[in-house]
Amino acid sequence: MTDTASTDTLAIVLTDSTSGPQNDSLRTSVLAENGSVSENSSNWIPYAVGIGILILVGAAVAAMAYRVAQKRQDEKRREENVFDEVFDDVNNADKAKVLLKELKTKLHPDRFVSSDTAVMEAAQKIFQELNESKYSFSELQRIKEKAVDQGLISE
Amino acid sequence: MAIFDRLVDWFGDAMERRDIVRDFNSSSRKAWDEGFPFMLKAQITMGDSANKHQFSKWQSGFRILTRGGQTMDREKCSMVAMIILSNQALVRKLIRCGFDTIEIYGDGGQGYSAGLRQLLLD
Repeated sequence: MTDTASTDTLAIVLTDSTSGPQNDSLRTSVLAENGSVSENSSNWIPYAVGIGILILVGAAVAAMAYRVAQKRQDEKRREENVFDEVFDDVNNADKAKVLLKELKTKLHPDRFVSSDTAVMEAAQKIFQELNESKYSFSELQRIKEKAVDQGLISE
Repeated sequence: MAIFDRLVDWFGDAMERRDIVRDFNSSSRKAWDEGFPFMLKAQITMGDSANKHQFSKWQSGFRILTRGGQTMDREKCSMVAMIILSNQALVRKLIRCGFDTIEIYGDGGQGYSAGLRQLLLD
């Protein structure tokens, strides 16, 4: 170890001589007057911190994306594609018109005036459902089945 | 973690809106292959601020355009609109996902536009 002292600072030159002169690595420390030591070779710390932060942010984004994907998968399993039914209904719009006309004739509340109150109320409820679903062939079929089950019409 | 949950919800809502459009386009392609007379395509638009409701998002329009097949005049646009809007579950889903206007445009720019909130049956 070689010591070099100036009037203002004391410079200490440390030599790592374990692997021979040609493989020496040189570390230089400057010992200031007030005794504090600064290392020029510690520039890697900010980069390491930056990379660490990037890794953490990346992990957080990946975790978020995974949770969102899990949620979507669960919902998809529960729901069918509602638009398949919509396209079927558009395709069957003409059949829906014919079926609607048939059901409106058979299920008109005036046909059940002489029946008991429960039957009249059921007929009114079904007629209201008819008006709400008049464009949907699948819904009209369902309403027809319901009316048959309740005994309001025969098949 | 509340902020994290909020971010997850926000991403989830945005992806659900894109899912709706993707589901529509997928059903449209399937229907066209099976003989449906019109090739329709859905997209998200700015919507109409007059139809705003409490769940409306920034881009709140659900637009359906015809891309091919038979001529789709205003009457057919209205028919398609009525069928979509009579499906209350679908209307509720569109409202929940932040849409407030549905627009259906056929050939020559003729079309049909309606606010979803007014079409909810109580």
